Amino acid sequence: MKTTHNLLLSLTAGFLLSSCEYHFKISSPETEAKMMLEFVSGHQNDSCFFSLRKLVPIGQEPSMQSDYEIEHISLLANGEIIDIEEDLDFLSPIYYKCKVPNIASTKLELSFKAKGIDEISAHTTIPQKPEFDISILSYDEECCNCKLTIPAEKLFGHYALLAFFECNTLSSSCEEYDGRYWVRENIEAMEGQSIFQVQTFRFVNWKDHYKSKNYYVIDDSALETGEINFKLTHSVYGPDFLNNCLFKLYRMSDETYYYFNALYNAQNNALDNFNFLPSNCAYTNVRNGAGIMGSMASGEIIKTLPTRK
Amino acid sequence: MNRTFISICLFSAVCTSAAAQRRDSSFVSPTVDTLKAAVVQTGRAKRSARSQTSLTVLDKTLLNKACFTLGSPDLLKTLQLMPGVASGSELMNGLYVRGGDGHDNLFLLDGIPLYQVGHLLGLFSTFNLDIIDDAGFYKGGFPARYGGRLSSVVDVSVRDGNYEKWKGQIAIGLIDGRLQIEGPIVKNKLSLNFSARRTWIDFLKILATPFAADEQSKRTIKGTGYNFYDINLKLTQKIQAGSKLSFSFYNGRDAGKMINLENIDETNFSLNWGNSLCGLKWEKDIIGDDLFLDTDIFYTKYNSDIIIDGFQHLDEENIFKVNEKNKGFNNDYGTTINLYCNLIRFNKIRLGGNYTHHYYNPFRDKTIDGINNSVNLKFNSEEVSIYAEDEVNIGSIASINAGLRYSSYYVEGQEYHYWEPRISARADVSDKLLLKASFSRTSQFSHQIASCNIDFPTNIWMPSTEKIKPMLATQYVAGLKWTMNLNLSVDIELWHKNLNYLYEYTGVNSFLPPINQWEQAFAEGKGRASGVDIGIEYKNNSIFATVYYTLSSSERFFPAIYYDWYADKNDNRHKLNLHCQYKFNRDFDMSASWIIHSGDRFSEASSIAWIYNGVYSTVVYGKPNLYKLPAYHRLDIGFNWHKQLRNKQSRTINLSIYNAYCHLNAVSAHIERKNNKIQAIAQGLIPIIPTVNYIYKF
Repeated sequence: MKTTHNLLLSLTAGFLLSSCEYHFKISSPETEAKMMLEFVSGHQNDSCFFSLRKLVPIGQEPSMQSDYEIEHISLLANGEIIDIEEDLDFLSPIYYKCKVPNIASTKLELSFKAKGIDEISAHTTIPQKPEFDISILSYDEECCNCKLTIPAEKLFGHYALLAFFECNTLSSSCEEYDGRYWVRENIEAMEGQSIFQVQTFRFVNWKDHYKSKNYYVIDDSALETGEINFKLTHSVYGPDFLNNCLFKLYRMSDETYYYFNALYNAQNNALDNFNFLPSNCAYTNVRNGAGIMGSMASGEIIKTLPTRK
Repeated sequence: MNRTFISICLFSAVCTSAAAQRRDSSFVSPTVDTLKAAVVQTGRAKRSARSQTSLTVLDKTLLNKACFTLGSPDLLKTLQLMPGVASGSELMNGLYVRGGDGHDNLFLLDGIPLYQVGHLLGLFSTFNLDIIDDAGFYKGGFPARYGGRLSSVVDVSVRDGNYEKWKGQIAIGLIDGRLQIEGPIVKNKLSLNFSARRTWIDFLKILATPFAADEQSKRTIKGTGYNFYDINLKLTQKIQAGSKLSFSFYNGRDAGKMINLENIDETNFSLNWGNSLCGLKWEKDIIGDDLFLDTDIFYTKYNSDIIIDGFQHLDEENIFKVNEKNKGFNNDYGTTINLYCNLIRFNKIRLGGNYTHHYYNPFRDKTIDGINNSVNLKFNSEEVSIYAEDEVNIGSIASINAGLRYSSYYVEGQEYHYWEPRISARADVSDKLLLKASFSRTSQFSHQIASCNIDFPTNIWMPSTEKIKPMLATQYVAGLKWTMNLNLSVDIELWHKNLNYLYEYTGVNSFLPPINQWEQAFAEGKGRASGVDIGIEYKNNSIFATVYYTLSSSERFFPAIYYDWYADKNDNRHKLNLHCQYKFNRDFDMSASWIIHSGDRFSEASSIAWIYNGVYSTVVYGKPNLYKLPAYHRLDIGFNWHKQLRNKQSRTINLSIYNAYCHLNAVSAHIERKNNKIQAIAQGLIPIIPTVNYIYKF
């Protein structure tokens, strides 16, 4: 009995002592540089800006952004060539500018070849402008509770939402719309994960090339009934806020929604960076490359807020 | 590389030692059993297909020696060693058969479906081998009588209790104990076979409590625990000659809890899952062995829950009270009838049908800071299938099993109907060489949904709906079996499988099942897999050795995830398993099993880009599942010392060593930024696990 006891004890101790962690280095399966495209038409009102970056495999020294030579670039809208501006001062050749017709069902196709790097190609189809209404349910010092309604017969596709308070003066955090200045507000869903914020920091604003743009993407499941409640909270407080609120609803193409989802997953990995991350975190629709060629169309509503209670 | 070399040497040493001992041994066991591929008479009505491809039958003797995990022999761990089967994460009971997913397998216990077959996050399977008679494992060429899953069938039979005398066994291991008892309630009329098993991991924490450094540690130990149990029962009544009524029952449950202490706030997590099933089966000879039928009624239930009760700390000021219950519940009840007819010469005809009512009820109730949000979904569906199967023997040179299965599914006003042709054939070219081929089409109406890249037991089952279609698969198999002599045979099978209407989660990552996102957050895709399975078996009276090798590829295509085909997460290109069982003499035997396979795949950032001239960089994800973990390999060894005691009693002491040379296989991986360089790093966690088990038979 004593022998058995000792045997059990030593085996248990051996098991516990041998528990340890061991690290393996994994070499990157990517060995060649490739191109990354970030093109989402319709996220800015006038022109469309997009970027083309050179990616180097992980483990190698990253190259500077302008480290590629263009051999060929073309952008087509329903088969017709669209002019692309490349000479954007010091941003060239990363950022490009073009005028995309904001017409639903237009098919955009882009192909690009840099010297020594595989040619990339991608396409997207511009979605229809969304039709919607916003009701202000309540408004107080803390927040503004709202309801978004989309008519059932118009409820298709994927959506992202932005909301702004009107302000008197122009600042770096403002956007201009309808000749007025607007500051973006935080949006929170009433339910946990129905609306998630994705940081699309790589989109460029023509006047402020390094400006990030965050979208509040509405999870498809949250809009089954065509209604969703949300609340606005001030991101910045100031004395010059007016009682007007601008809501922009974006209808996104499938690939834009998948890409934003993937970006969110990669940026907010709740699974602690283990290899449990779902495969969709690697989404791309760029053949032989990475990134996105997507599109969206926006609708706008301005609401005057009731007196605070 | 060194570890690989050492492991090969160690395995060779074990085998050489076994062979050397055999020469010295004067005892030759008459009862060493073998894996009987495509063989089969275990029960008159079962697995009699001479033409069957891709079938492995594991009988009781073999199962009890095959693969020990933490002291207990385990069915699924044994099946994981088979060619064409990937096991997924280390220690998990994953069964990814020929490019299939973890939920594509039909597990039958006495003909009744089981939904979840893992205990202790997969360390043990729910099948207690003390009570099991045999198990048939079909990877392809499915006979028409099986349906409802895409990739494999694991058909497990519980043994009838002894009609003559009472006997049983007790087994005590380091972390679990088992009891099995069988005997006649009414001699030669009514028998009982009962087994129960429970872990005592939760008792070990009592030993740990005195070593707790402070009050907080004591609370942590107190609030943390895990246990599982399962109970099997079979009652069999001989009604008259050629007629038998049997009642089967199974109940198993896993319960785990954990506590998280943050200052004075306490958050409790609990994780529970389990199956219950029962069934009544009647077998009746109509005209002797030439015409007989069996019919049964059954009920099976699976439920799981994840409960979180405590506080959510967003920051020092924002602390919310959280109470969240995530529950998955589904049950089936139904009936099956099978008629066997051997009246026509050279023909074995089977006809039958099955009706199953499925009920799915996933539920989430979440309250944060007093604001409640709950989702309670309920689905009822009906599954009806009929089949006909005819096994035709053309003299002794060929046989064909041709069958057709019709499956239909009714859910929420939606109907699905499928015809599933099945055919398998074999031709004896000579006494030593036979050729075989099969074709099968299968459908699956229930989907298990996961929100991350790992199959948790708490992943919920959902029905097909209007938007989510039933999954479909088509498999082709061709092969040969070359029996060189009585001891040595080589079995080779080439296979290809197409999978359609697969669904992959595309929403926000989480460990919790996406209950409210069913239909919306899943993308439709397809899969394809092909490979070659090679099995070499050597057996004599005291030694049984196998070499299994698989060369395969498995890919997925989901347009919502990637524009092209990409590797499946369980795409293990090469898999080799060397297994040896040796009986030295009546009192001592041992087994060793060495496995090596290409690493599992995962998605991680693969490239880096500057966002703004050397100021800010970002990592970019490449193809899904682009990365491969390091090759997996391990050696398991088991020793059994048997001793015959008085009055036909015996005892066995088993020593099992899991991962004998302590190779820490990678279980997870991530990207790390070190010295201004970004690297992918994988972690290994599971070391050598030696266990002892004492078995007393009476």
